Amino acid sequence: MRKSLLFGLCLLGLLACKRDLDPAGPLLTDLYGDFRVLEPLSRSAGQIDFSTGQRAHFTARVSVLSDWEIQITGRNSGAVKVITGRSREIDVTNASWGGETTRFPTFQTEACDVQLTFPGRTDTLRSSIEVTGLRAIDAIILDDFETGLSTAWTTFVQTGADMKFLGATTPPLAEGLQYYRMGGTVGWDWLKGLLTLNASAYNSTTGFGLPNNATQVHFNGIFRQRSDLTNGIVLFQFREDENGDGVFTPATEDMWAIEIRPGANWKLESIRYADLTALENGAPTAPKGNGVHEPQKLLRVDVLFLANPTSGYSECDMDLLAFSLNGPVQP
Amino acid sequence: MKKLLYLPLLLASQMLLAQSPPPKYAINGGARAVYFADQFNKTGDSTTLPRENSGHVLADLGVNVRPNAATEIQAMVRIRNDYGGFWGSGVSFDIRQLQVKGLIQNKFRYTLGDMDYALTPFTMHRTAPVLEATTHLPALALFQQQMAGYDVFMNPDGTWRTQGGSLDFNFLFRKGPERMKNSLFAMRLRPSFGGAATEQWSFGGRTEFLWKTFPLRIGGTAVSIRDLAGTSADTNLYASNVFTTDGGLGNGFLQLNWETGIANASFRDVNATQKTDYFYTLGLKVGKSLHFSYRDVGPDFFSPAAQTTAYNPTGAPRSFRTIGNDRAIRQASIYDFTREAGLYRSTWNSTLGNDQSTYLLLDPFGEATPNRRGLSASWQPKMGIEALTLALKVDRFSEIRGSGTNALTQFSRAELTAVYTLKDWIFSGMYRDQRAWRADNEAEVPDLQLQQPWISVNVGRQFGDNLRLDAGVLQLQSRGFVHDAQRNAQNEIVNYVGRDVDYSELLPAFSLSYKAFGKSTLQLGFISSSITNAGSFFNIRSGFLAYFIQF
Repeated sequence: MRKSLLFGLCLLGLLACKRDLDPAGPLLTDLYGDFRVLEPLSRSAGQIDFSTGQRAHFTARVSVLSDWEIQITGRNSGAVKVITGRSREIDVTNASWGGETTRFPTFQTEACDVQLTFPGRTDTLRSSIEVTGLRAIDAIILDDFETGLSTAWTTFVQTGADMKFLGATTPPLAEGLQYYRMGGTVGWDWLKGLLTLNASAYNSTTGFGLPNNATQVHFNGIFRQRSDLTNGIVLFQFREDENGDGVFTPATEDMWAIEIRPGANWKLESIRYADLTALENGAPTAPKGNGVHEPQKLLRVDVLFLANPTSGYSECDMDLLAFSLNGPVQP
Repeated sequence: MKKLLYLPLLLASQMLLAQSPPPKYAINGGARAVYFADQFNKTGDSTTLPRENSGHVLADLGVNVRPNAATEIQAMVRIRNDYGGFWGSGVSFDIRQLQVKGLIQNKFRYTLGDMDYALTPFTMHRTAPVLEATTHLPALALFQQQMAGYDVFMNPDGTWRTQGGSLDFNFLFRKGPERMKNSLFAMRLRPSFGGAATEQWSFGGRTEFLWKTFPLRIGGTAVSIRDLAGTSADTNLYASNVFTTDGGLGNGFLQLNWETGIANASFRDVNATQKTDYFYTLGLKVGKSLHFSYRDVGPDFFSPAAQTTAYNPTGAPRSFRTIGNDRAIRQASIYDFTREAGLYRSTWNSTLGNDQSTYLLLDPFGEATPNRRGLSASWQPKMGIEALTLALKVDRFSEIRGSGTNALTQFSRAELTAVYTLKDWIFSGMYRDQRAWRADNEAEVPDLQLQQPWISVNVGRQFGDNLRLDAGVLQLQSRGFVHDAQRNAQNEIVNYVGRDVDYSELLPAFSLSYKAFGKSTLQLGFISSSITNAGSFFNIRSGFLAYFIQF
């Protein structure tokens, strides 16, 4: 009798279980429904000042679940921000903009065209928005080259032919209005020039003010190479002062490195500090120090512009060298 | 409950002990010789060769060894020779069966190796709802049993042929229930192939209490399927657990039976998707002729051992595999399921796969088809004419969770079968009306509307004790509009493909069967399959001569 009662209770318990009764799979109305724009594209504000932390968002509504793409284009700069999604409603949760850039250059204070399209459909919705203040980039910026090369850097440039180590403003631009160009012909050496930034010269703070968690720290830069060239290499070296004596000792302390071979278009490169490796002649090698990534002990950053001495003239541009935390920098 | 008494299980062996002991060695098995002459016809098809003849002779030679009174070893080898194949060409040897059975202390019965195992319809049961179409057409049904059914070990009790071990034992009680029957099993479903796949096992069992003084039985069943961690580099492991309890009350005019349970499945994906749901079914038998039942199977109730169909509806047949000038792979039909063992499954599927709505929409995965709720009733009235047998079955079901919409698809089925015997003549017929419908509120979504009538008529004539002539025809149709669900590996519906269905299959079948003696049958027959699908028509005709014997 007791068992029967127990069974009855179990049965009642099962019947009391609640099921998820939302329709299974995609809605048929999304698969079969006619595509209609129910609400046109609109913006949260006509003018937006990103420097004060404001964000803009866009809204629209369509009748069926659809892929969509919002493209914001700066009228002066040509900067492009692309936001994509798949939904019926476009709103602050999926179409918010904080002034970031998808395709360089970065936005200026300028009027921007906004275009909403739906891949595979002909409908295009348009709007505009004016940027009145630029966003502050959340990063430890080593140099954005807006006033040429910062005086904190020390430079060494070979006495080759047609040597160019200078700030440049010729479009296409990357971040802001100026970038740094490195170029020249050195027939006897891979090294064309070297830029050195010591922590002491940068902000007199040990380790550039970086935290000790190497997985949080990202090194970033924007790079391109003259479109008719492929021989340029930008090598970054990060020297750690492990024993805190204020001097980097190559035989006993770690030097991490990353080699970048830029393409023809501006591209943001970002790498976690923890993923940096020790390199010797471009090949990975064992670190000489304790082998622990310790960004808080970073003593010096070197930028070496390299090219095969037999390859002739080489030229690479770079912009926005910066450390960011918890992810790549958002230009 | 104070004192338990073990019940000697193998009563048969006890009886045998009292009589003459069985022989230590015995030869058993079966043999089959079959020849098909097939012809294909499709208007405008100049690519497919119109004739395809095939046949084989095979012998399943088994050795049954009883080294002692408590042990039995069964080993069977299959030797097969395709007609026209000699000296190694077309000849194949295969192990068909290896099994060790025995008794421990005369109390525990064990089976190791190959075994046929079934539990309840919601935990482990080999379901084949489409094959119900052939039930009333003896020429087709006999052929299916002797060909594909024999090859894949299909039994009427719904057992799956698996490999592993099982242990059966009983307890007797002095008070309360008279007996507790227990069965435990472990089956290896998939080897690891040296780390190329993740090894998979199934474990579980059943316990059943039976009362003698009171017409009651209560049972509990568990089936667990698990990928074994560490047998491959894959760290995403599949696991399925199904627990049910069932019972029956009464053995007189009213008989009540029920089963209820819960299933949990965790799938092999990055998110380790979990699905949990329950089911229950309640049945009432009134007298000998009336039966009612209500069933509610949740949309996320996944029980692979009960929902995997015996046949694979997406399989491609061997006979006339590609047809038409575009060499399209032919879809397997009822005709193919009666003769090709390759279209049957030997393992359980962890996912239901895409909807196959050609023949069935109400219960394509058997009684345990998920996302169904409704009533069934059957009535077998006592007729005034003794030679006439009638049976009526009615089902009315609905979805529980809408498919892509809040509106629920409705299902109905009504089946009438009649058998009339007049001297040596046997007339039988079956009509099954199956419908599914759903009206969608959104104007742009086509309504689901499907009719799938089955009809079969057969005339049989018995000549003496051994010779029987059958001629019948089966027609299956499917017409309307459906949204076929497409599922991912986690059993989630990811898309619907809406399509107009206009399918018709006509199967006239004729056979002359001669039962020479014991379990041997010589069958001469003819089957034709005419299929019209979305305006495209083709026909396959097959004449066959087959001989089956089991010894």
